[in-house]
Formats: sequence, structure tokens, C-alpha cells
Amino acid sequence: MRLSEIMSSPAITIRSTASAAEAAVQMERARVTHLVVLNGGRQITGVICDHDLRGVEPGRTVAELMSAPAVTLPANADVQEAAKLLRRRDFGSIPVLAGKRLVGIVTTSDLLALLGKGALRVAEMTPKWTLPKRGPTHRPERRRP
Amino acid sequence: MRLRDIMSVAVETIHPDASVEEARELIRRQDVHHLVAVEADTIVGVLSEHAMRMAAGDTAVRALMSAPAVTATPDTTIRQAANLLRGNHVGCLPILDPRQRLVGIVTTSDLLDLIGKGVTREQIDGARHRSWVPGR
Repeated sequence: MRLSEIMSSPAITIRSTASAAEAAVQMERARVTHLVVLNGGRQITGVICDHDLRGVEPGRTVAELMSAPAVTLPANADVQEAAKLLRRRDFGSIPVLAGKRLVGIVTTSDLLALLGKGALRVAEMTPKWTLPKRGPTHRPERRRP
Repeated sequence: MRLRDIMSVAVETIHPDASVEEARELIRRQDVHHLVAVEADTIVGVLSEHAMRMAAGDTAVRALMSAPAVTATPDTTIRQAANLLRGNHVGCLPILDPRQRLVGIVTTSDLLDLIGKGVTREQIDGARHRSWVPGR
């Protein structure tokens, strides 16, 4: 399954110079928990989630609180790849790109939703075939009678 | 597949009145990412490493923990666990046995691991599925 099938689109963005309070307002207005952070040149510099804003002074900037650098994936990447990235790193979302254009965002919650719906059908277990006379190279020694 | 198959049995607990400094020390020493807050033998919340990333050291665990704790049992299926984690916006599920004793913990990372490795539908639903093997 591809990220384009499960991502939230469009991704909601915020400037890196914005304050924590502005980020919280932006999240509430758009009813999202993750924002993609852009710098002055409209380049993706990080991601910020509602947990990052919990208990911090409202005046702190998004740049101080965000998870950076942002790791992105192309829209045709597989959900397995996204799961591995989210597992290894300390953030809960991945901005999704089509070429260099931001087209969406995938969060841990989106992947859990796949499991929750039972909709995930990846890497079905396939039986391991062995051709006749071409078995495993390391065979146990035959017992002699 | 059930939570008993993937849960971590090493669970670290902390009192909700402990400080973030103490929690950070425990997390570092035990190399875990989540702590279960326990008060008078009752689970009252869970605290993630991420939640206290920006907090001052003297903040109480109680102020940052997710409460009440959402719990599961060893027989909960992967599918049910995913819905519990997502529906309650929590990062981990303390696992309680029928006597309400804390026996393990399952985190979002454990489920992401399953997706990353490639989980099948039968495993998600926890069905007692017998694989078909050629020549059986």
C-alpha cells in the first residue's frame, strides 16, 4: 500500500519563526496534531506535534520546539518504509512529497488506523519452494547403516 | 497474534509525584521510553520520554503524564491494541493480567515494528490461522 492512499492532504504548514501559541491555534483551527514547518524560503525544515507544545512557554518559537531535520518520503513509497522510519526516529509524522512539492503528511496514527481496520495486507507469507535435486547446499551428513 | 506475543515484560514504574528529573534518570538508566505511573498499587497514568522533552526538571510527573492510563490484557489482539492507542491518543498500553497485575507494556513502536516487518491480516486479527504448507 502506498502513502498516497493513506496520507492526509493537504499538509498543514507553519513558519519556523511562529510562536508555540500560534502553532497551537493553527492545530486547533485545522483540527490536526502535526504541522510541517517551513523556513523563509518555503523549504521543509522540520515537523511539530501537539506533544511538543505541551507545557512550554507560549512565546517559544516553533524552530526551538520542532523535530528537525524533517525526513520526507515520496508519495509512491510503501507504508512499510514509513513504519520503519517512524520506528527508528523520534517523531510522529513524515511529510509526503511529489517531486519537490509537499502533497501530504503521514502520521503514526494513520498507520495504526490501517492495523485497526485490518486493512493492512503487506508481505503476505509465501511458502518457501525448493526445486527437486536443488535443495539446500548444506545437507546433513547421511547416516551410514 | 496477541499482545502476549509482542509485549515487553520489563516495565518501569514511577510515582506520579516524582519529578521529571527522576523520570529522565530512570529512563536513561533502564533504557526505556515509557514509564507507568503507579500510586497506591494503582496505575494512574503513563509518561513518555517525548512528553517531557521540553519540560523543566522540577515539573511533577503528574503534570505531564497521560491519565487515566488505557490498559490492555495479554489476550488483546493487535487490531484492538491499534484502535486503543489511536482512539485514546496514547503511545503505550500497560498490560494487566486477570488479577490486575502489571505484566508488560506494548508501545506504538512495537506495532510500527510489525508493519515494518510486514504483518499479515491473520496476525492482526489474532485468528488461530493454520498456514497452508505445500505437500502437507
